Amino acid sequence: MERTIFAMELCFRWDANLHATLREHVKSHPLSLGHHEKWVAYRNLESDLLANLERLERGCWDYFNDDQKAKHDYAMWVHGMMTDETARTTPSGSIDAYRGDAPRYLTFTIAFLVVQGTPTDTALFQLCNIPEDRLWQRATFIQILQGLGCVNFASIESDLMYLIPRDEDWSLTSEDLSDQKFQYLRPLY
Amino acid sequence: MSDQEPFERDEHVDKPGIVGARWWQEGLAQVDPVARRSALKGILIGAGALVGVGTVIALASGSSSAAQKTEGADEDFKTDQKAALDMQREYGWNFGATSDSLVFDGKSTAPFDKLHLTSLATDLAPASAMFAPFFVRSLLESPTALRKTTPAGDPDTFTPLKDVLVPIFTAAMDAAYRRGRALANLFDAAHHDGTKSIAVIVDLPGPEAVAFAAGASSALDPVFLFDNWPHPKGVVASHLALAACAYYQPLFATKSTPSNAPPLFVLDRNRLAAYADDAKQFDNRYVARVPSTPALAKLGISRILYITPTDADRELDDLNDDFVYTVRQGAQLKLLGATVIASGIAPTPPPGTTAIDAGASDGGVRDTGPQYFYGGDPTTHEWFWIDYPWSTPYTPKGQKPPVEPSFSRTGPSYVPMARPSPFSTGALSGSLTPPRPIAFGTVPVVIAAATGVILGAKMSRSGSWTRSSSWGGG
Repeated sequence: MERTIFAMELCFRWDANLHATLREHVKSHPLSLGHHEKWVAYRNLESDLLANLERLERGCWDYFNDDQKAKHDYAMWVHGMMTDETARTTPSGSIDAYRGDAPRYLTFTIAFLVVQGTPTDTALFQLCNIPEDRLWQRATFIQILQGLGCVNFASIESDLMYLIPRDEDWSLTSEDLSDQKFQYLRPLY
Repeated sequence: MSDQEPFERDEHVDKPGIVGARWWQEGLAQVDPVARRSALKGILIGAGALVGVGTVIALASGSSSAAQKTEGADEDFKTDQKAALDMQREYGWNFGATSDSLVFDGKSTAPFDKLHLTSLATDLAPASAMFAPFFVRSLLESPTALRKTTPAGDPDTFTPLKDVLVPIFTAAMDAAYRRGRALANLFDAAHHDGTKSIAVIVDLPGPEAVAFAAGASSALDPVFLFDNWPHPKGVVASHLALAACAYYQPLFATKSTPSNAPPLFVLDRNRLAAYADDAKQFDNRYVARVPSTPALAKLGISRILYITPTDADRELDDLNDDFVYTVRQGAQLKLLGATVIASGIAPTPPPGTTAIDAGASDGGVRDTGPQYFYGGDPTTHEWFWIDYPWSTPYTPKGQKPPVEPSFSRTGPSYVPMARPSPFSTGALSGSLTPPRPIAFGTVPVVIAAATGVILGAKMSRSGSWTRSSSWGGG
């Protein structure tokens, strides 16, 4: 069986409520669950992401239906999650909203390893067939998020989600995002 | 995994900087594709070029294949998968990472003479000869092992593991030690019969498993099953288990385990730790070599007490087939979450008597810490033998019988369920030959194509290999 990958990472301006909501999505996701339960969990997540789009500042998404590339990139996302490739390794300090601190950020990532040739794969291909001049538009991210209901998890071999950071005082700073390793998160317009 | 819940979480990270997980639907690997959409093959679209991540993460794609691959256009060398432990025995414990260091958390300040490490495997051997065949001494032999062959490009000097090993002692180890003492008290042969038919398996993170065994060693005979060597890039941080062994070595060396004590098989629960990238990690994982049910039956053992971190934990995948088979064979298997044994306030002993205590020797160290009891209280301690009715509770004359702990315990009623995994068949009858993932416990090595000589660990290309580019040209 060959694979396709779909992945999306969203970078939001820090909001305590959004952070708490997303953290709950990750933490409450059961150890094991069925196809429909998975679909419901992701739809709820997507709904919360869409409800906070005014805070969305950067992002990236990708869809590759080359088997080797898909497996490689999926492993890369997993590796990025399991190591400290992108997360901070030291606290950035607590946020003091009353003192006009520099903005802080959080990122949320999802990725699917899809069985190639399935209806879900076809639907994702159509969903992600975006003209190049629209790749980094906020509207494109909205369109894709809204369309992820097409995913049938019977066709998903593996999925991941992660939130950076878990704790508020480890939130990302503007300086973090200007680092070379975050260049893939492009400003949206 | 079940048909109803096919997704299983298999990776998990929960740190201040990041929280996340990966789920896997293993059954899909056995399903043929619905259709091959060749028309789409090769089309790459997407906004995320991942330039940043791609440059940060160097992923080796050969981690799951044991097949040989030819490297480079000149075909002067090739890669192959070799057993990690074999490579370490031949090329040294830090094969491929000689410039990297081990990190020890919780270093002990107690006096330590590394010369004693030469007798570590002897001091930690089981007291009873009956259990000697099951004793796995791999880890305990690693400190003094020397490198037999120097890989090309590696430094001529070699530092034995004993020269970098330092004992550790952590709060978690202290608690595990006290839990071990509490269990030893329950297995005190003076007050409980029937314990000779029981084998205990403690499956905790390495340092805690060692500490638990140390605490229990006055009444149970520890049989260590640590089957790997530490490595600076090791998937399994077995240097911590080894460091805990070093800390408790004086106690083990002087332990007074009765010669007929029941066995306590000691496992490192991190032995199957998650592994993703053979370029940055050394796969020193291994599977548990717990004696089979027939082997235990020959020793008169028909009951197994399996100790996990908590009541909610289950046996790791590599034990599932064994456990299912054990139960199918009519043996009894029960689970005990270590946290059910908790600290409590010891009663003041009546004049002329001694308090409830495991009685373990502390190797001359005065112990002023809390005592632990089954159920967290002296009054619930002997209830253990109600929950696990393989002996009878001991009630000293004039004392009240034990009372039930106030919290629920699921371990006594635990029944292992067959489940398919990379390490188990999922067969209802269990299996004596569980599966193993391809390339499990192996390391990619670079071999000279012309001579077949192993040049070094592939992972070290990111270190010493990059300074030795002539290797690629043979």
